[in-house]
Amino acid sequence: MRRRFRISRNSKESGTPGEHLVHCSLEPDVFASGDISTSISDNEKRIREAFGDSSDLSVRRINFGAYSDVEVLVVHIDGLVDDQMVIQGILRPIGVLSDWPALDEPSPADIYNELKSRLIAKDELSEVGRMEDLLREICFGNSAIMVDGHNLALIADVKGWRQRNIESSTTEPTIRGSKEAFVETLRTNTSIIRRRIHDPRLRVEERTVGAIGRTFIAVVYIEGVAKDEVVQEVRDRIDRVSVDSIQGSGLLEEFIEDNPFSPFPTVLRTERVDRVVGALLEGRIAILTDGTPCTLIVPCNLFMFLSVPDDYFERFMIGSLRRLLRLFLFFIALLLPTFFVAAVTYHQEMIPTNLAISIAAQREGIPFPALVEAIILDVAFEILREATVRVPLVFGPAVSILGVLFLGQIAVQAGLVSPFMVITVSLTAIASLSCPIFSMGIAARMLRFVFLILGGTLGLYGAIWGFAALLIHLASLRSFGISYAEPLLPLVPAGLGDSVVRLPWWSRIKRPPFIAGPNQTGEASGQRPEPPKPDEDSGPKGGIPR
Amino acid sequence: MNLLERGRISGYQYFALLVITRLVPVVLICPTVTLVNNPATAWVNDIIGSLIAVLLVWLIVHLGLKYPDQTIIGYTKKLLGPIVGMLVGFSILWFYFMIAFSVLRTLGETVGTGLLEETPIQVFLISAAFLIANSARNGMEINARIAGITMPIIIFLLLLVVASTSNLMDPGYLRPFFFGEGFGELIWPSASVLSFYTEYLIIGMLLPYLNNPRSAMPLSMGAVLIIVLILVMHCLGMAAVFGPLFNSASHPAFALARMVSLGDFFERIESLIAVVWILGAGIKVCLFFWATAVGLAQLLDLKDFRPLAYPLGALMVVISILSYESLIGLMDVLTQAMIVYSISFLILILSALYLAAIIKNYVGDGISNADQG
Repeated sequence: MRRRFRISRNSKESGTPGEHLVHCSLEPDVFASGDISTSISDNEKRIREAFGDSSDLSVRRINFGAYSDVEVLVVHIDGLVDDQMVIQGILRPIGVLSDWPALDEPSPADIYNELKSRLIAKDELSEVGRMEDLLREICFGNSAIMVDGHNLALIADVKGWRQRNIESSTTEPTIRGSKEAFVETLRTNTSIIRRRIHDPRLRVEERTVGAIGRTFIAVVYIEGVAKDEVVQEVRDRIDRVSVDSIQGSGLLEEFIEDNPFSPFPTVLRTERVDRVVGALLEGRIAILTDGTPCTLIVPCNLFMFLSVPDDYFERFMIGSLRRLLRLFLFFIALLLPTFFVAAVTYHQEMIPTNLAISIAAQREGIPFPALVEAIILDVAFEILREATVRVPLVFGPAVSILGVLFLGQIAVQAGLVSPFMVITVSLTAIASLSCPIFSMGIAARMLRFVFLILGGTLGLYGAIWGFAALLIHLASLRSFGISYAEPLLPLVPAGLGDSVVRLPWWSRIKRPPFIAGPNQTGEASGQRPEPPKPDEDSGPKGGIPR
Repeated sequence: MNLLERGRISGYQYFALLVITRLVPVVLICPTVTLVNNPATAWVNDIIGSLIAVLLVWLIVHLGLKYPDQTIIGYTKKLLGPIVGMLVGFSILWFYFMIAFSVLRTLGETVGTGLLEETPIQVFLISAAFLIANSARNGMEINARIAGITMPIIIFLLLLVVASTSNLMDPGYLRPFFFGEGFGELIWPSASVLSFYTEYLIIGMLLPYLNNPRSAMPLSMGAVLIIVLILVMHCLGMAAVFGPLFNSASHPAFALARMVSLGDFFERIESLIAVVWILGAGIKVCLFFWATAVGLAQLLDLKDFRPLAYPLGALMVVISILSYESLIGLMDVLTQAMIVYSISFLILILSALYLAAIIKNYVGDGISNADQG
């Protein structure tokens, strides 16, 4: 219901351009629109006007082979095209080669067709008839070729530019997994995925979003494994986006996510290749945005945020234990200070007696109630965290030393906070940082303050109230039509094996039923490794080699 | 008939909702325990009460299966006509609503006496009712999902409590002295057990939302069976631990949980039970509140039940405050007046509906979807 509301709102925005800030597409230029003229001088003038004499526009007029009276215009943007390809594939054939068939009185159309079948580029040459299409293709890094006297232009794909090398991810480090992370170039990223899924059913659907930026967005999924209706939903949501430009996947995420007011991210952002490939094989959909290494995965659920690909690369027992630990840490990050404050303030009888006495002794002389104390420390931690992320690298140690010294030691010695509270808050902070996906850690941190206030005012009841509210929210939250907390809310016992824990691969015969499409059987059954059975044919029993 | 709610619940969620509905009073007030004279025979009452309950539940489900695409409000209106149907429909809704606000009041009183003594009870009632109204407003699916994970935890904790107090049990207390004071002794406690099963009239509201209504019968019977097992085990455990002191504790299940102490560190699970019980009670209130809201909308032919949620929630808070003076008064009502009221009400409703169904079937005026039986 809520989603439908959003759809209608979006369509209204796109219907009335001038009113809304994000939708201000450029007024069509006089030079930049209309059909391509038959005169290349006219065309050249229009292109130059459209680009306003930008210095990186490269325009070359050249005579066509033996017919020196026919001129050909080649236009592209310097730096976006591969120079070698332009020279070898386009300029040389047009200007230098003399083996063009001796056409009798060639018309411009004949020359145009000849060029179309002979020029060399990466793809089939395409043709455009409108000036705005031509300009757009030039901006994408293609080369446009026009023949004097003919009103169509050939577009040759000769893209080629500098790009960053494929490196390992700095935000999501791994121990045993693949070190490759995505880069900023869309084509490189799709190729990295292709190199791991050698199957033609891997679909890469590209579309452009943004009236000015025209950012390339690729929707990647495996046909037959992903559910068709989810794929269609992704397409629809991306097509609804109407902005100037998508700079970074975060902007796209904001437009396509399910519930913008939820503290929980409903779209998973990652730059790890193995995470994306794993998600694709489960039937999820990856959305790659040109210009950012951060790839979006939808639909996602709560437990994906608490798992890392390393879980699958380690043996299953340690993988499962680490999953459980991370789930536990998530609850710590959410609830530990709340329970501590609630217990100290209202339910002293719940703390074991010895501990209660030592806590009480330490809190002697602390000027604030436990709630205020916890909030002070929590805010102090947030300040430290923000500072360490933002300061230049050289000042990092200074910030951490001051933070540790002031908060950890002096604040306790000065009697501002109690040591137990420092322990609680630092444990919580570390737990929230241990969340594998940053955005989920943020969710836990934001909710922690809410819980803290509830626990500090209504004690354990407040904490339970908050927890119930959280459950209600999680139970109603959806990510692209898939329940967000699926194996737990609603309880799907079959799904627990690869969310709360990680069972061995050979026990997972089916793909997750709530995501995967029509073809659910993921692997053959009966693959559990077993010692070889003693067999009559294969020599003596007992296994001692002779 | 407009169902007013798009949500569907799975068989497991239906089962979980039924089990939680019946286990919530078990954890807090074990009425058998407070009424029975002889602890060792308390479990007999559980079994007798549940056996009669099997019959009642069978009747409720059977009636519901005759009209699997309608709620009890829907077929009451259809069977009893506009005027009588309206009156009976209101009485059913009042029954749901009464359970909702009684459990809400119990919840508030428990939090007030157990966790935060100095806070006025209104704080708990209002905050809980807000959450419940909000959840019911968003559809029953959410509540059913939460019930799905809460039920195993409640059962696990109850089993854990009994298992970990086994070192304190004295089998001598279980020596049966059956019927020392005649069979009459069994009637009142058994009726008390039975009275809590009358809450299963909620099946009438739940059944059409089940994604496979035909599975309602085995699921409902399974729920009763599980509950009987838990009740008997819990009763025996308490009798063996407390013996003659059995009915002196006000919250026997909590008292039992408080006894748990293994190796000096595994203790205080009563606070854990309190947490889960509060969740369970919230689910139960939400279920009956949702039934009231949806039922009312259907009875009055409204297009949507959601606008009713917040006003009904406010009404629930006010009535729960006005209806009972204190926890003692609440217990009195639940263990005495409610028994007579709920059992006679359920029998009356069922006989009226069955009679009408039989007559309509005999006369045969256009209830096409009623199958013969």
